[in-house]
Amino acid sequence: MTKKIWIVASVLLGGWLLWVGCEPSGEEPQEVALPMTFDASGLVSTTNVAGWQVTVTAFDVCVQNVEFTQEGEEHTSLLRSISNFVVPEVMAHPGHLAGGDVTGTLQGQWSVSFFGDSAPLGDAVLLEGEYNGFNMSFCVAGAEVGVAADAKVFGHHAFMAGIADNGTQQIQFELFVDVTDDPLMYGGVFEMDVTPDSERTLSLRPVMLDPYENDSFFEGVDFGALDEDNDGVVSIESGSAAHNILMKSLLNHDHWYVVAMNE
Amino acid sequence: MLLMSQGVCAQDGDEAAEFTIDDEAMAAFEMAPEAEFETEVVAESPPDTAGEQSVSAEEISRQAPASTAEILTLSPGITVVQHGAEGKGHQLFLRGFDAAHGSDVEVRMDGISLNEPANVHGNGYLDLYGIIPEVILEMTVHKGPFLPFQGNFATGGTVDFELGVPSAYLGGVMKTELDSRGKLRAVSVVSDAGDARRFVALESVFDPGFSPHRKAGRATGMAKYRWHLGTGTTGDVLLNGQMADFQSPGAMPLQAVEQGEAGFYDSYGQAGAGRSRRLLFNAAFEKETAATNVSWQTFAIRRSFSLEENFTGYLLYPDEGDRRRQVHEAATLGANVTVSHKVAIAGPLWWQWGTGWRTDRISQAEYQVNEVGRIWQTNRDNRADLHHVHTFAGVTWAPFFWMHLQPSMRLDGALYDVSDMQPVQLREKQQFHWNVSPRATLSFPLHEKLTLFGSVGKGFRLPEARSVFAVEDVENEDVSQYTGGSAAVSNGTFVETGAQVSITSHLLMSATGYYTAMEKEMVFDHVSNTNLEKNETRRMGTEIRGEYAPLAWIRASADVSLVHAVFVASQHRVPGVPHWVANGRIGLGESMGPHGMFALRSVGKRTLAHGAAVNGYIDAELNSGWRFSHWDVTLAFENLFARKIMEGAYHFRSRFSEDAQESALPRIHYVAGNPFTVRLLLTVFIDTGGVE
Repeated sequence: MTKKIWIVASVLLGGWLLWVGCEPSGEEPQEVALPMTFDASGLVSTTNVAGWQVTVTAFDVCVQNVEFTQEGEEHTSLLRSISNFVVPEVMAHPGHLAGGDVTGTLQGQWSVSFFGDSAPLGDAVLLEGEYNGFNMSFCVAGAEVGVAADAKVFGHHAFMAGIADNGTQQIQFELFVDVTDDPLMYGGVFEMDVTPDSERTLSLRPVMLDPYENDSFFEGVDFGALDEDNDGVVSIESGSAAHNILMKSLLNHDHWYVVAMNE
Repeated sequence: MLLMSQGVCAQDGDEAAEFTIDDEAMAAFEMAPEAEFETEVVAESPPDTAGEQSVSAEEISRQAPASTAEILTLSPGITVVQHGAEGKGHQLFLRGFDAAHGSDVEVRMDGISLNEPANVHGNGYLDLYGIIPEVILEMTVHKGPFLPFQGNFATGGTVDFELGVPSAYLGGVMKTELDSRGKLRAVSVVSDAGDARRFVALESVFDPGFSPHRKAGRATGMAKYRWHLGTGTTGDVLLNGQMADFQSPGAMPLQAVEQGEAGFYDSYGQAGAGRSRRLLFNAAFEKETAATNVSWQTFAIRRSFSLEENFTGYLLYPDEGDRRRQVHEAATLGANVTVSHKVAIAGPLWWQWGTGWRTDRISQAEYQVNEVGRIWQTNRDNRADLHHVHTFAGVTWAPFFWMHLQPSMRLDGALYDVSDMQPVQLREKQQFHWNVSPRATLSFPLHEKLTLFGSVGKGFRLPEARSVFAVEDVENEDVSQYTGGSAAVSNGTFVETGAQVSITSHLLMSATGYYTAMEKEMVFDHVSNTNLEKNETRRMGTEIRGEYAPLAWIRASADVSLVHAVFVASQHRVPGVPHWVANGRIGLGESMGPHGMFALRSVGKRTLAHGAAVNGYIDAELNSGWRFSHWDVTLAFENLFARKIMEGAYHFRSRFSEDAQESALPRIHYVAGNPFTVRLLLTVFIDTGGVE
């Protein structure tokens, strides 16, 4: 009887061990496709420290290659606040814990007119998981992304128009952003638990007011000083100090969100 | 150690036994003809901890290992992955730690730590190709950091290799191995027939690789000489040199294989290339008396290492590609002193004190290179002097016959003096780190057939040199510029308990349970150049092992190791760690005549990053041969069931086409293990050293 038990146990064990190693196979996390669009709800009037209340009336931008990130297992002390949250993209490598990775993408180039009628960006593909951020880069708007040659954003990374008012002076401004270094934005805010059942629409949302630090997109800009001829109209272009300040605002993750919308 | 041949007299830490047998007696004992293939299963004096295991030269020989890394797997729960080719350090897993290239497993050769602090390819990098398997007298694995001598990188445990010529090889041996894939290995050992620690050994390997991009050639030389300076007094000199040139295949996306775009053993892109050189010198002195043991050693190491690899294709740099060249030069000086003394109080008590110093002078750089090897970007260029001192004190006390105590306290201090040559303006920084590690082991030899164990201790890993430049507050930065958290010592609390029992005179069993808590583990990722401050991790597991030797010519062993390693906050498993590992071995034969060995190894499911997982695999080896008086011929079969083994598995992004618009989500990547291979081993014994 004892011998039989040993024989049966040995056969079962051997069969199990052999079954374990049948063929190389793996289980990838589920891919979830979510449509992505944009909205202008964050383009509200804001007042900077210099007292200029700024209302944006036009904002066109060329963006490309959106990446969605999970923070992985990085210690939470790194996340001192959302405002300085940055997700280190650790390119996994044999032997290394892979955390804080890009696990979702939407590849392509788009010219987005937040006050216009641009088409949705497309379907982003994300691995299931808890997301904490996103990255994207800016591109030069041209014919390849459907921008007409007479469009103000044509040849630039972004175009913005609006009115700045400090109570005594009102200035109409136009901003033409030409990014000089890498046109990259890292660590935008995207909080979502993506599951295989997720059916929400993602929306790219620029925000003029950082809700965590109350910083305006236009901090550091004195529109009155820019209006040298006092005609109430200012054009901010590459090479000026104001351009460089606003270019940094454009690249600052504090001012970019991706929001999961209920349809 | 559970199954002991009588040729091995005492284990590390078994102080009383060590001091009662003088060295000459020990040598004579090892030379005795009966020493080989003595099969009675006896529980010798118990080990210090439940997780301690010694592997004898006989057991190593039975495995017919082609490299020292293969020997590690003789200890339950250790998993070894080669994601390059012969010459590149292995990736190690132990007790829930992904030790990468050695960051959580301390390996010592004759007491010298082989882990390389701040190696350009990984903190604690281990290259085991400098040890020739045929001159290992014994491997002792101390799992967990519970003993005072266990130092930097011993968070998973410490592996000690004691060098010497096993009794079966005394006098000399010439071994030639040729496998069905063209790999050739030749080993020559010449030794004093009367002293295992007087030898010269040479090993050379040429491996065309079982698939593309795995070609390698390497050579190792070892020479050791022991002087007997009087009763219980010895002096040793060791000279060890190694060189290797090897390719690196990178990792393959599993999806590409599943979709038929590539074969299982294929490799993408251009082969990686590595070059490894090391020269090591050690001088040691030891004096043993009935009441005192003094040991001293000083060592010097010269190291040169370079590596070109590309695991991600064109993901980071669509134009030039992600190929990266790492260059590392180091010179090391160090010394260790240990003193043990017997004190006459109630019960045998030995106090032990030790101290050591080690300085590593390092020059290292990392470049991005294109496919023709042109450097187009310098990622880093560092110089560093690392000074590490330690001291420990403890006692080994047996107040009662049924209780052994070994409490200790260890103090480590490290001074980092690092220069960053990469920015336009030279940066220099000094930083001091220190760590206190209280430890204690307790064993209860309640009966000659039963011993219970309990251990608790702190283990640590010093930070990488480059990490001293890290700053915490970074916004809007590209990853390549993000410098991560501040440098800090990673440490944790370790607890272990277990039992060892002789069920019959032929059957020994042991069971161990352990628990590890690591707080805010700091991992410096050399890919992103970032200090990753990982969340708290907890690891718990069990190891069960049995040995059975019913007859003089047959012995069998089996073990299973289960581990549950998770990040506490997310409850996600630590990536890459096998959920379980099981081994079974049957060895047949005696000192002469036919012999054989069958080994079955099963590695369980591995959870990867982002919730991905790969299934386990099974690996079987069989060898069979005949030992004649002056020669032996053996035929060995590797991967007997011809499984396609994903030895290493990872989940990361890659882009192997130059189409920058191609979506790149993380995918399972793997490194293939050996395919089915037949190996012929021919061994000629120059002098059998008394074995006839």
